[in-house]
Amino acid sequence: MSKTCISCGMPMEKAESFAMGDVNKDYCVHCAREDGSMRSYDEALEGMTMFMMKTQGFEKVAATKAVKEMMAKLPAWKDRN
Amino acid sequence: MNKRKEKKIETRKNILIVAERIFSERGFLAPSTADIAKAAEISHGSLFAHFQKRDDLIAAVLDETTLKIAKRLHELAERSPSLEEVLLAHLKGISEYENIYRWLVIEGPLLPDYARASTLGIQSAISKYILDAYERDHPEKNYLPGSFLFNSWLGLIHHYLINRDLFTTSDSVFKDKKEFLVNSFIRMIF
Repeated sequence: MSKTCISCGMPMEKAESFAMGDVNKDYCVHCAREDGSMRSYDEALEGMTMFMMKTQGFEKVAATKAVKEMMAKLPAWKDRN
Repeated sequence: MNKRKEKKIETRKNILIVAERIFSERGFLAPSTADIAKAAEISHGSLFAHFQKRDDLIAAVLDETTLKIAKRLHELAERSPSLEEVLLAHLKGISEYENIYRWLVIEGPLLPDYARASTLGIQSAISKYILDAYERDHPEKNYLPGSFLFNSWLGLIHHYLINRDLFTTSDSVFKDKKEFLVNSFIRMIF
């Protein structure tokens, strides 16, 4: 079974990729808060921006811009504003 | 769904297939919308009904293509535990879309911002696998910063890709050179 996280776009194959290990959820383990709910837009933006800066070495403004563009296409954030 | 709507969807799909082929051959900036309409065997007006600006067409093709590439990279890298296997998976995945990826690398900085973001989606997809494998294979703490390792790898493979006519006579520099590139890179960093 092959789903994609609606918040960050990561493919989810095995149960451990899903939030709370629950294959019925449509978001991934990284986009889940400790209580299991999905993190907010601002939390996701911050998290993904930091990740991009760490893995690809971008400076913050460029990373934020790139992540915003990426998020605008994802189901969880498409209809914002 | 009525016939007219079906036809509209079919036409749009066909335009994207043709546009992707043309962009793979000539890049994103050189072909005009007239070129694409001609190749798709439709009137320019018909193309315009679906894509008012060339940028819209480029964006649509990029959205689909980068998604396909990212998905394929995930597929291949997921079952690759060692750094060597992840890097090989990276090159294998790109080689399946080598022509259009090459144009993305060459013209990326010249395209509008949204196009940049799509490309970064590809890099994001693979960077995590590469960095995780590197950390696993290199447990001592004085290893290279992850982003530097990743950017060095990208710089290397993009150099071979952009100038591939210098390095290979085959259609695909990555099919031809992937073992060489991966083995040399790993020897260099360890």
